[in-house]
Parts: sequence; C-alpha cells; structure tokens
Amino acid sequence: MLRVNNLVVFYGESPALHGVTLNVAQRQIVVALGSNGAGKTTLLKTIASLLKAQSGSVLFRDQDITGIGAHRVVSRGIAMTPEGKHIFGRMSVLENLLIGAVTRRDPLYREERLDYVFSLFPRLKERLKQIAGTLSGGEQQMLAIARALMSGPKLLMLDEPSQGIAPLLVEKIFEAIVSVRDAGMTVLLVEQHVDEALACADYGYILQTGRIIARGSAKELRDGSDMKKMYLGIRPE
Amino acid sequence: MEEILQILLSGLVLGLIFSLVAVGLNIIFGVMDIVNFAHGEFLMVSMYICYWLFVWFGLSPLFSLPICIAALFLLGVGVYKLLIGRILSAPMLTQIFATFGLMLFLQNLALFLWSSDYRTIQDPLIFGKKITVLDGVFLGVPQLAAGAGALVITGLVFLLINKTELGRALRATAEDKEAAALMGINTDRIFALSWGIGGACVGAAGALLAGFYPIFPYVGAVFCTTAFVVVVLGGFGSIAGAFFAGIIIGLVQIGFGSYFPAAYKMAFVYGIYLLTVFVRPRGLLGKS
Ligand SMILES: Nc1ncnc2c1ncn2[C@@H]1O[C@H](COP(=O)(O)OP(=O)(O)O)[C@@H](O)[C@H]1O
Ligand SMILES: [Mg+2]
Repeated sequence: MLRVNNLVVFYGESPALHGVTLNVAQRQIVVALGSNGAGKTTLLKTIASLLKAQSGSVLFRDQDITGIGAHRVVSRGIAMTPEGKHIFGRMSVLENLLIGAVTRRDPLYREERLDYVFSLFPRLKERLKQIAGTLSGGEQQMLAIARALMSGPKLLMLDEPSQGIAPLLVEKIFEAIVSVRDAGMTVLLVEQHVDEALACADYGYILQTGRIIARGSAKELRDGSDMKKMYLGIRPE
Repeated sequence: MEEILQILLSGLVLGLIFSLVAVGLNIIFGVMDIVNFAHGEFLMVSMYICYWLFVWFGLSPLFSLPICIAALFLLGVGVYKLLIGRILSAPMLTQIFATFGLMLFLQNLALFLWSSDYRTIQDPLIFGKKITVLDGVFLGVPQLAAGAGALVITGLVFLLINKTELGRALRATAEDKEAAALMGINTDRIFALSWGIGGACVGAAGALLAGFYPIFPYVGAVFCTTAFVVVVLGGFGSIAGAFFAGIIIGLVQIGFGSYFPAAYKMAFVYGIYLLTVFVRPRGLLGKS
C-alpha cells in the first residue's frame, strides 16, 4: 500500500535519512522502532510531505506522492498524528474533530466519522465542549488520533502516541490502534516503547541514525532480543 | 453633561474605526506572525480610491465601500503572493523590512502620484450634515455612517472567524501551522486569505473614514500607530480584544484631546501602550 524507496532527507547540511526503504502492506500495523534521533519523525514528516526529500520516492497505492504538499497527502488518504500531539489547544474538542474533517465536506460523512471515533474513545464524547488544551495528556493523544481519523484515512501514521502518557492510558491507546487496523485501515506506527509496539504490530523496521538496520515480522523482532538490546538500548525489564 | 456625551459619542465613532483597522492587523498577525507595517498605507490607498471615485464619477464613499473592500482584499492577497509568500522562511528581520519597505513604497508612490495635498470628499449625500442625538449633542452623518458601518463589519468579521468553516481553518492555522497542514488545510491559501481579509478590513475602514477625514499620503501613519497600540492593549491575535481596545483608545484620544492641548492626546495613547507592556504584556484578551 505504501512504498518508501531509498529516501534521503537533509536538514540543511546534515543528513537525517540516508536512503530508507520501507513497505507497508494493507491492513497491517507496521512499526518503525528506533531511539531518539534515529530519524523516525523525519521519515513520517517526509511521507506526509511536510519535509522535502533530497532523493527517493514515496508511492501510495501505486501513485507517486513525493512532495505533493501536506494537504494533498491528506486528500489521498493518509492522516498523521504528529509527535507531541499538537492538538488545537484553544479550540473545543468538537472543533478539533471538525478540523480533522476539513477535507470531507459531507455532513453525513462527518456524523458517521464522529460516531466512529466516539466508539473508539467514548471519553471524547463526554468532553465534546471542553477546550482541548485543558484535557489530560492521555485524552489529548486520544483526541489527536480521533482528529486524524476524521478524514477517513486509508493509512494512519502515528508518531510516538505513547509519549508522555500515563501507563494505563498507553494500553488504551494501543488497543485503539489495533481496533483501527481491525476496522480495515493500515497503520504506520513510530515508537520507542518497543515491547508494547511489537505486541500489537504485524511487521517492524528498526531505524538507527537514518538507516534501516533490521526488519522482520513482529514475532521475529520480538524474539531477536539480543538485537533489540544492541540497537535500541532497551530499558531493563 | 452634553459635553461629556458629545465626547463619548465622538470617541466611540473613532474607536470603532480603530477597532476595524486593528482587527485587520490582528488577523494577519494571528495567522502569519508577521506585523504588517504597511497596514496604514492600505488605509491610505483605500481612502484615495474613494477620493478618485468621487472626483471622477461622483460616487459617494458609502457606495465606494464595497469597491474598497474588494480592492483591498485583492491588494492584500497580491502583497502576500508577490512579497510575503516568498520570504516565509526568512529571518524575522527580513519580514519586518519587507512590510516596512512596502510602507515607504506606498507612501512615496502616493506622494509622487497625488502630491502631499490634503484632500476632502465633500459628498453632497452626507457631508456637513448632522443629526441631533439629544439637545446640544450632535453626530455628523458621515461619522454616524462610519461608526455604524465599522461596528457591523467588525461583527461580520467576528462571525466569519468564529462561526464558519473557513474561520475555523484560519484559527487552526494561526494556532499550529504544521498541524493544520496535516489536517488537510492548504495553509498557503489560508495565508493569502488572511492578508485578503486583513486588507478588506482596513479597506472598509478607509472608505468609512474618507467621508469626513482629510486624505493625504501620510494619513495611514496617523491611524496605524494608534492601531498598533490597540493591538497591544487588546492582545496580539485577539479579535475581541482589538474590538474593545479600539473603543477604549478612541475614547481616550477624544477625551484627553478635548481637555488637554491636542499635542498631548497621543502621549496618553502611548502612555496606555507603555502601561500595558509593563503591567499586562499579553493585553486585555491576549493568549499568554
Ligand atoms: N528541525 C531540525 N533541524 C535540524 N536537525 C533536525 C531537525 N529535526 C531533527 N533533526 C535531526 O535529525 C535527526 C533525526 O531526527 P528525528 O527524525 O526527529 O528523530 P526521531 O524522531 O527518531 O527521534 C536527529 O539527528 C535530529 O537531531
Ligand atoms: Mg521523533
């Protein structure tokens, strides 16, 4: 569904991705793991067309979407929740969700999507009128995911959705991600929480300083614990 | 008593115009984080459009109003497309010099084309007419039209920003450009629109003002420095703040101007500016 070919991205003079190649198959959760500074955010932002690639290409459903502009990527069916949530803190929860649906003008479709994201995160429905900036960290992440789902994406990209969230809610977030896949969407997840991510993923890549250094089914990566320790600097369990 | 009412009324009219000018400034600043130093010159351009439409076609500024709104919307969009859009990622100083340069350019263009003469529009429809509000309290018809027009237009802009889909996209872009783009908002289009709407506001203010205020190449400077104070007092980026602050500044200017030598009235206005900066830097309704 998504093919990233040999992507090279620079910030000014310094390279952040040195030729990353990655595939995401339909209806799978694919996770890109890697420690801080590995290039995970850069990868997602380049797919989303927020950053320009020096070379390489991004193909989505067999169409070249390299650098077509972030708003057009959304119309093609890719939504993304950025690292650190970036909800619209001064607006209500409902307004945030409606912004997520700017590419969808049909009010009936919006109603449908609202019902869907409320079924995923019932808590948001209770807080519809609340100013989003006053939500807890976990609720803000739920809102960020729900907002991305409002455009009815075929591919959902999540940048460290578990970052800075209470452990209990982290579980809820991962449950929601699985449920999104089970609803027929495809997920590209970026994480530092290796175990939780591999537990729900189908396939995974490991990134280190802008390169893919390992890939495999989630099971293979789970079992290759030595490799995990080597490349990810995993917390002791 | 009549004197105070008279002052309040005149101050209110002037304040409503300040509000409209400042709202336009604030929309551009809120979305772009760029201060449009040429905002006053937009006002001046709008006033000259009224003047020439009156001289050539006898058109009353009241009828020129929609033309000025449309023309200044286009000027705003044009300035974004030709100038600002090209320096979005440039350092802030470059952006300041760009709008500052535009200010000087428009002033000097007006001087070159139309000389430094003061001109007035003596529109037979409204010029010199006044209504009696109470015994001894009068309001000129041009001032009445300007105050009412500014109030209505500011209200419409407020609704546009807060109650429409487009307004929501504008607010989202103002809050977080990257997140807005990730939602599918064409932020470049929103940037252009913010310049267009900001221009339309000041265009409307210019047309309303042209009915009773002299028109000359530096007229924008007079209003724009005050509009900056209004923006600071109301809070950067806040539409409602700009509205209330505009009225306050209008009242202060007319009020103090009536009891103290005219030269001091701006001193009071800048006094408010300094007080705001020291006591409450985010302004009345600004976001911290
Ligand atoms: N805006 C930026 N300007 C310059 N360098 C950056 C910028 N963002 C990230 N980098 C650098 O690019 C590399 C990859 O960063 P990033 O994609 O954010 O990694 P990750 O998301 O895996 O933590 C890092 O070395 C980081 O310092
Ligand atoms: Mg990151």
